Amino acid sequence: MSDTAPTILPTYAAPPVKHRVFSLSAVIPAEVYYARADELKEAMMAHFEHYEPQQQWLLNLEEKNGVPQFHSMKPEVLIMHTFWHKSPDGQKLVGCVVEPDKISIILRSVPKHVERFPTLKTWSEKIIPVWASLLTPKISAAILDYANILSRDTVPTFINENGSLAIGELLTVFAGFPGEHQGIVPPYDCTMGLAIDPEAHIFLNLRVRGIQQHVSSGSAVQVDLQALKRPGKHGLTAAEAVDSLELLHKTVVDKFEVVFTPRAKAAFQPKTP
Amino acid sequence: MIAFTAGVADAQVSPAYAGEINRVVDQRIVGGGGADIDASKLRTFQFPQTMFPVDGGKVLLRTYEPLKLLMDERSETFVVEGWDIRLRCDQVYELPRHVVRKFLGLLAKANARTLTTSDQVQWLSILDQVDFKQFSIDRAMPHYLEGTLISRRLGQPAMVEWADGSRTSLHARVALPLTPLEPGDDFAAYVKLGNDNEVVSIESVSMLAAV
Repeated sequence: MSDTAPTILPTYAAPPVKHRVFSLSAVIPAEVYYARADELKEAMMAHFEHYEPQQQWLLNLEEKNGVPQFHSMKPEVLIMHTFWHKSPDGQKLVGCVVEPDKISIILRSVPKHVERFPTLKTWSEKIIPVWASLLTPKISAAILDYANILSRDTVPTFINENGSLAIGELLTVFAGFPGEHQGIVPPYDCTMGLAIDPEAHIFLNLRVRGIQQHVSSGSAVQVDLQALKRPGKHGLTAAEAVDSLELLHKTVVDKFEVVFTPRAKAAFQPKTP
Repeated sequence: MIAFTAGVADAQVSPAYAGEINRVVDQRIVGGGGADIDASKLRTFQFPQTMFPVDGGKVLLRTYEPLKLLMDERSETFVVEGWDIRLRCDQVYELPRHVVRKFLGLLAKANARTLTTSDQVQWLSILDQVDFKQFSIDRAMPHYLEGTLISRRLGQPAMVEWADGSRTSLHARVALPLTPLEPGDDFAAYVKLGNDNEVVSIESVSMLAAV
């Protein structure tokens, strides 16, 4: 933590943010969740125009000595109730995913529709009280997640001649890697947690990992900045969790400034305040 | 863990934070078929939901165990073991509605004594899987009963004597509708009973002495 006066942080015209997500993890008795599930769907459809449930067929395999084996958990199907607000040209802009123990409000970054944190905050303030009033959840964590994608599309000037990403020039945590080496290559998968303000129960997770979906357009890396608020002695209500959004956002923005190198931030096109 | 995701994988919530299931989307492993694994296990999935809302969630139909879905890759459909329900895999989110629909359909036929032979087999299979006693109790209409309030103190159980002479101690929360009454008052009410005739709720209380 810094004890200096707060500084005004720059904003960027082209940050590599793919999506911003505000999630609340919660304990909800199964009886309550399933009894109110239909009512919750109806309530959500008053705010979102599209219901597009996601489903996952999980095989639950694990690898032992290079051989895939079944995990003790049986294969199962999970359903996530997903609601979308779309742009006039049909792009998914704001979403809400409801699971038995969680709600997530998603703000996607899509071409021609540049929405930022205030939009996520507005939707969170509108939707989460609806969810909380129906399910009376016991909140176990409030999480603000910024997923940043570094790829040919977002940082074209950092692509090497062989198509690889110059990750050591983008991320400060990679830039100063000790010892001699010719370059940094995949796989990337690094996670760390930071105690930002333990007394206020504020933490931050940083995760850097390679992503396969972008293989066709060269290597790509996802940098997740996740600020968390956990309940204190007296718990955390849904309203308090929503109130913590600004603080969580400040935490993410602060760390964004120090995780990316000055050269990377110049590529994100800083705006003068 | 391997997952197949239908829907919008590109908009999934990042899975990195603690407590989140590490969901890896990678279809190549199953397509490859090179692993030494029992293929039948690849086709049987559990449906973790064991409570299905009926009457808009006022009542829950509970199964003792998660339902088993047997997948047929060729037709991209699945059947629910013992329920005679077949759906397309991408319609699995509709399963709770179909479970309740199947149950209510057979229940109606059973009440009307119009179950065919195959319906009877089906119905017995379903009754083995659901908590029918609890469902019947939860869904039963309230009974009209008359009684006398014997004692009631705030936050304490209330004592009631019913018209047949039996006495019941009511939980303070259940007895809330009796708040306007005083000991000795005769009343009538619609009473919902649970397991072992325990009073679950009281509504539409009226005072008999006032009539």
